[in-house]
Amino acid sequence: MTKEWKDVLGDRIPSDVADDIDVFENQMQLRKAGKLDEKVFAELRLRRGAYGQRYDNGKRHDGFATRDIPFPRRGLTKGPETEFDAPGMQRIKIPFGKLTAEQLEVLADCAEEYSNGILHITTRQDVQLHFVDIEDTPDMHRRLASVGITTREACGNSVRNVTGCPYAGICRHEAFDISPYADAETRFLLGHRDVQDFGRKFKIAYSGCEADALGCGRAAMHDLGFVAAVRKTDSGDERGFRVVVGGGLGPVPHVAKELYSFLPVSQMLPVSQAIARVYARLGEKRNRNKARIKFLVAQLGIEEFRRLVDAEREILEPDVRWEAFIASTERAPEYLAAPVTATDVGPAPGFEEWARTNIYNPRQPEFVAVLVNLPLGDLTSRQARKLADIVRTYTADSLRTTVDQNLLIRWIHRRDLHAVYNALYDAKLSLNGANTIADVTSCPGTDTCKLGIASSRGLGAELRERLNERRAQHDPIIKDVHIRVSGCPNSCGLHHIGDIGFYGSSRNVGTYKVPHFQVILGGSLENNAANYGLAIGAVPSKRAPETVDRLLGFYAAERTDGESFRGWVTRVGKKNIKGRLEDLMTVPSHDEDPRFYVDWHDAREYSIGDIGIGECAGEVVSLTQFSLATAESKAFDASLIVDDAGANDDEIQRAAQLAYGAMVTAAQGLIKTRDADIKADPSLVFETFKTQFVDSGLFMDRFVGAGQWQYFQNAHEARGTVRDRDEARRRVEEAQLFIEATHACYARLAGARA
Amino acid sequence: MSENLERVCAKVYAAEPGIPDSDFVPVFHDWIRRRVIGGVLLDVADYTHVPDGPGVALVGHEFTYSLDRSDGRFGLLVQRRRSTGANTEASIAATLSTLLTAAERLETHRTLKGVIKFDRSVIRIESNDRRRAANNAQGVDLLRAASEAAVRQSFPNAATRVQLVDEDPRNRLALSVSIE
Repeated sequence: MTKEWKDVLGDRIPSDVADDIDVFENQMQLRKAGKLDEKVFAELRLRRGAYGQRYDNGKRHDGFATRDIPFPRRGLTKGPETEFDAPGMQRIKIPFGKLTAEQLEVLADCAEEYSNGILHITTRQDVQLHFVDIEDTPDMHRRLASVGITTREACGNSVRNVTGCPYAGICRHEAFDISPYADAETRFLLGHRDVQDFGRKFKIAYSGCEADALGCGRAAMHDLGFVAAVRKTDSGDERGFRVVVGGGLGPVPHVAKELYSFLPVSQMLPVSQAIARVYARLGEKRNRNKARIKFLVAQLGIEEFRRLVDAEREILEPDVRWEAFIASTERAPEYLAAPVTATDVGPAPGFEEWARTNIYNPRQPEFVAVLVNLPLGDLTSRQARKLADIVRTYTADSLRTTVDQNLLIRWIHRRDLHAVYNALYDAKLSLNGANTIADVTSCPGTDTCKLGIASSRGLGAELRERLNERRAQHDPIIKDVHIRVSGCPNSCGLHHIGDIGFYGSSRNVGTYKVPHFQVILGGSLENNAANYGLAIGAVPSKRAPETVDRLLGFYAAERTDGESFRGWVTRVGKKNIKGRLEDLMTVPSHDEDPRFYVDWHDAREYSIGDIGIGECAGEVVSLTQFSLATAESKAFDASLIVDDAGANDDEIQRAAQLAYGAMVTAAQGLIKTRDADIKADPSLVFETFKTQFVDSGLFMDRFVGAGQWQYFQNAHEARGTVRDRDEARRRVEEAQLFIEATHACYARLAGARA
Repeated sequence: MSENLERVCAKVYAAEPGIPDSDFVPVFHDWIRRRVIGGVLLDVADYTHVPDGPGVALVGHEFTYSLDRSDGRFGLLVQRRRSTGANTEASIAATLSTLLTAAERLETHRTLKGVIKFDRSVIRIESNDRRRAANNAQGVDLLRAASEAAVRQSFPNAATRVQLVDEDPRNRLALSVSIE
């Protein structure tokens, strides 16, 4: 009789967790038997981290046409328009990035047996496996649970992985080690009844220091952020946090607002619970585009939100875990008592260059920490096992995933450094250049993501290769420039906080579609990632590397002493920079250079999902494209104003009007496909657009339309006015997204005519 | 032995092809479009940025095909992804058959002629299911017997010599089958 993982691991999995996995396995059987609704099952699997993946609707464009994928059980679904047999992505939570050697080995086994032998580290310190069969997930979850890893609430509308500074405990700048607090938060909120009724996901981050110079905490871009602080009191130092709420990237980024300047650690868990309850009660549920907590905070204002949280905190039923979890924050040392190496054997080749970029000197001088630079966040199962050996041999199990898609081995005795490097070298994990310009961050994009518009990993790989080759030629300050690439506006690649950011978009050129990337300038990691960049225009995907080259060339030639890339962008101005990139925004005709019509690391002619290639490039099309270009120009001008720290109230209002005008112009452009003489009167355009494109459903597809229409409505109802700079900045982002949606709609119309 | 091992991998080796790995991307896209090989073919995955990784992979429903260097040598690796109720020998035989067909298709693809030639005298056969065949003596017994029988189906008159490749119990159980 064959024993299954369930039988073998039974006593190694907590009974409640084992029961939970059994229930999920039963739900899967019910779904297969048609006894559980597909929507219900979709949410159930999402809450266990089992995500959809590109082409899981059973259709794929092969470069010539969209074709059905003949899955064996075609029609059996695991969610709306999601084929049951289609492989999916499994997201695995790694709270504050902390991994043990044993956990890494089990992850490696799962990657080999259920995926393709690749472990992918995300920008939120998770591990993701791709091409996973849903029917393998219960056993995978059991194997992970047997070593203390959960996938519960890794996706879905709940509390996602709690991230934390990977340098916590060794950082030279931290107020204190946030690890035990991030751990307490994770345990307290996992499966908590008050986090089960959110309209959207909820992301929490812990940072150890205010400046966050390494960009490792990033509290300001999270739904809820905790920044460690110490307050002097009569009885000594008191630990606490500056608490920020309502941040987030995504299509419309918000910088989190300060909820409390200092919250004692004893209040951390009850306040988190109170925030969750306020969000669950008052947050948007129907319109998912407005459902993140950032919209609630913006709508209420931070003062009112604080009042509500304080009131909720007062009426919370006391919970012994508030104190118990915080009281149990002491942890075993992560270092060995003595070095392992008796005599230094000397380093393998490449040590000096590697040491310049991959070593972190902690505040404990007898130790070092080393970054394992993973190309695009990927490592193989075999590498993972070798890494587990290194971690086990030279530390007391001290490994973290980082928010830059790398790994950090901490608490290495200095005397062991050469031995560790040599072991990494043998494992082909000694790639230098960690956290330099060549260490490009990228989301999965069109490789595997259902929402991807352009190949972010393809571009990321291309940039890595080119920049690695030339990195030695760059002066040190250029090495510190960070490039971040997302496949769509949702910002999983964190393009808003890159010195140079890109996000995928699509443009029509004649009868073809061409992959593009919007160029984002002006973001940075400083101050817990509180500075977001703005788009200056889209370049064809194939011109993105040249765009980077040119930007770096300008920066190298024009920067003043010690001036950061962001400082240079601010001083020179985006308008000036855009003007010098405009020739790169053009696309040669298909006959001239067909390579522009194929995305990076792909061989198919570019397409977005099932949208057909339009052939009608007549007069009306030209008018539409002209209007869309004008709209983009207005949105860009608006972005320049809101980006100017010295802009006064009148100028901010002008920016808002420009953004509103951009939406009107884009809408007018679409109307021109039917009425070339449509006047520019905003009310006429608004009403006509509503009737012809919204009420008719033409503007909407599965992914875009409804939210963008809401942006236009809001701007129109306010007649373009805004309350403050923050709202103006959002209006500009919304205008850009509305324009993107009009491009998409136009492409669909062109396809339908073909 | 009652274990039914269905998740197996098989690999044939070749000299380094002398072309960029990225040149295999259009080949696999072409296979999907023209359904060059049987089964349900899903997508092409590019892992060429990972050292000693799966390289360029053609992901299918039943099998995944990788131009693989995970054991440090270039070759074509076929991974059987699904359970169908077959016994161990039949699962290995089906994987071998698929591997040999895919190898032939690659060698004769119009853009790869003369570029790649697989050595069919050595085949690596792996268990990809640690529950049923881990890298231990019991697993070796199961995989060795089934592998020898399965290889005889593809190479009826050949003598075989089987060696355990890797004794690290954490790594996949892998046998090297020499066909003489």
